[in-house]
Amino acid sequence: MTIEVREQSEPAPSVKTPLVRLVGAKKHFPITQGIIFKKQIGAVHAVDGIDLEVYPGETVGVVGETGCGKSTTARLITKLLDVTEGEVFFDGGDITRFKRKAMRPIRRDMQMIFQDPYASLNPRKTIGYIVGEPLVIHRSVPRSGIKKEVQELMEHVGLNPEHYNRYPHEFSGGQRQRVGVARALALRPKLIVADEPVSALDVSVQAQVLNLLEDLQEEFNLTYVFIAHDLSVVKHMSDRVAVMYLGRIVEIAPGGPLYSTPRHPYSAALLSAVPIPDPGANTGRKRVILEGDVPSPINPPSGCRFHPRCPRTLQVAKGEGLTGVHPRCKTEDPVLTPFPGGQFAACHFPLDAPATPSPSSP
Amino acid sequence: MTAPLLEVKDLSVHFPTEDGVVRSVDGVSFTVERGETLGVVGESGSGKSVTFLTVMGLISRKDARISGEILFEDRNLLALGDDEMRGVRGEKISMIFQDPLTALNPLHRVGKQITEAIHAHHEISKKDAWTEAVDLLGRVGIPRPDARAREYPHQFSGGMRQRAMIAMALALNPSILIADEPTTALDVTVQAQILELIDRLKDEFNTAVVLITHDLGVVAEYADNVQVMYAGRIMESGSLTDIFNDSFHPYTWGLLQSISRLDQKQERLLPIKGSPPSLINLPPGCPFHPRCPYIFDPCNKEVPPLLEDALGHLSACHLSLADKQRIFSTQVAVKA
Repeated sequence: MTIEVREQSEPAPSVKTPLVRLVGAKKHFPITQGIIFKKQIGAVHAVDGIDLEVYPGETVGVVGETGCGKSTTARLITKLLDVTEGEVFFDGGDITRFKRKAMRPIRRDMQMIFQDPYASLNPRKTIGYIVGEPLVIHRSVPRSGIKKEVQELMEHVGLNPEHYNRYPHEFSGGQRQRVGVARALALRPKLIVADEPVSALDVSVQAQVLNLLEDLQEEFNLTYVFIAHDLSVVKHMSDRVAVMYLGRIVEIAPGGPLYSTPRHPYSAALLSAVPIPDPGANTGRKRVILEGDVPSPINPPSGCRFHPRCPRTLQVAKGEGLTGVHPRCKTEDPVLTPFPGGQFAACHFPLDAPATPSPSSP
Repeated sequence: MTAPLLEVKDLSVHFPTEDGVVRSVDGVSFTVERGETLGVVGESGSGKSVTFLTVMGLISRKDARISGEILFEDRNLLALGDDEMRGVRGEKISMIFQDPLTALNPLHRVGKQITEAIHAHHEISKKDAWTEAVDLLGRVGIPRPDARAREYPHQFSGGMRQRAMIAMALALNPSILIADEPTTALDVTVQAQILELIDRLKDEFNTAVVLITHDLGVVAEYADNVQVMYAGRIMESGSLTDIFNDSFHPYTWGLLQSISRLDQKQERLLPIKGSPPSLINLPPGCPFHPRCPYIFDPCNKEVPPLLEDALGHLSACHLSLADKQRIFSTQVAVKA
């Protein structure tokens, strides 16, 4: 059911105007020294030049490891943070320089769902108040109609409307996340940015919330930006998946091709590291174990940010009779280039199609 | 048949609270064999951590009512005094935890913390213990171990901290290493490094590993045998293929069907309805019956016993073996 809708929306999204567009977006957080005379001694390059387009009705997943900038990206899209450089477009309009007041009418159209359903709900307010608050703030429904509207929303997300006057502590984790979803839905937004919406939930409950999000997308024609570190969840939910590494998108592709033919060596390593819950599937799998840890985003490596950990650059350099990292990877910053099947990857020496036995074995 | 390395018999751990008795672990029996990796799967509150904290002697009798037997090297660990237990904990059975930052002391150098563990159990000079600690750090894959041993935990990354914890846990060459969600706080690429390391060291140190996790993928990849826990009880246990390719329990079926898979295209996930029960008011009969789609007459009255089939595959469910096989092959295996 859901699948049919997606397949219609999948081909040729380029003819439509994107709902969200980030152009060269950067977010640098300054590091300062001194108490009274603060001087900047550096910056955390949380997001460092990304281009991203999200089309109406689609789900774009963002994956990456801790510190890769995926949550910062979510906050740039929703203007909870302002970009240091670059531009943010929403629904065709440039909102980069918009201040609080100008943002207000636009905020209705973009909502967020957060990771921790325990921390994101005020424990002193009833569920009815929490879900109804956006309606009060934006005056989209007359006060007398709020209760009815909230109860309808609660029913939509699978909560009992009679629980209107209960408090968050009376609900389980999965139910609380449903409250978060109902609140995000209250103003009938066009875009929902979900930042790790199921990471805090048990597996048996995760599936309930994921199914709910899929149903609501169909019902309300929502556009999702779905952020998670769990690659299987992101692949399941998304039409396209963006893989981030150290503040950059290194590859963006539909889930199927990304999994079957990752073009960027980092995507390949990330995917191969995910354990598959099937003992038979693991025997033939080649695993790329990356050496070391993600470098600091304060001083990201020169050239391609992945080069100090990349198995591919060593292999290519060796093929050319060089030792160590290929000089091109060290000096030249790769840009996202297109591949067949709607895939884009930022790599000087992208991995081949699956004809070769294992793209990453040396 | 040789005696198992560790045998837990009818273990119950109940915590009396103001709201009632929390039955965290309720009549659990299992064994850990030499050299095996036992995967323990379950959701939060299933009792998987409490079971093994009790094995480690880390649940105080002041807080909990503990009954049953934990047999290890011909002794019942539950009957040992504090001093005797200290000779087992760390030396014979050791444990690593989910969050390596809170498990390490931030005020002491990493090397010193490992040295302390060795020094507390063995009569060797501090200098020799330090050398041994450095050697261990090298074996768990920490580069420049002599320099890193002099650093503090905050100077280590998450993966490195977990490596240091593993070094500490293996310092005394224990026969069982209990890893409680060892990679849950880590990124997936680091998780792969750590799990490969545990798997390699298991052979090197000839240690049995208990891998407690909620991630079925981790279990499928690293465990030999699996035990599925729910509401303080064991629902099903058996070999890896028993659980993944021939499962006998509706709860395991539910878990298998509700996870998103990277290697397959799924149109729709099939979640388990409802949420886990309160451990204070456990449902009568089978604890899983309110969420089970195959419920019939005895389910809400009688607790199903954990029964073994001819090949050592245990399950606690009232369905007949024929029904279980039929349902699994026609409804679960197709989709999972």
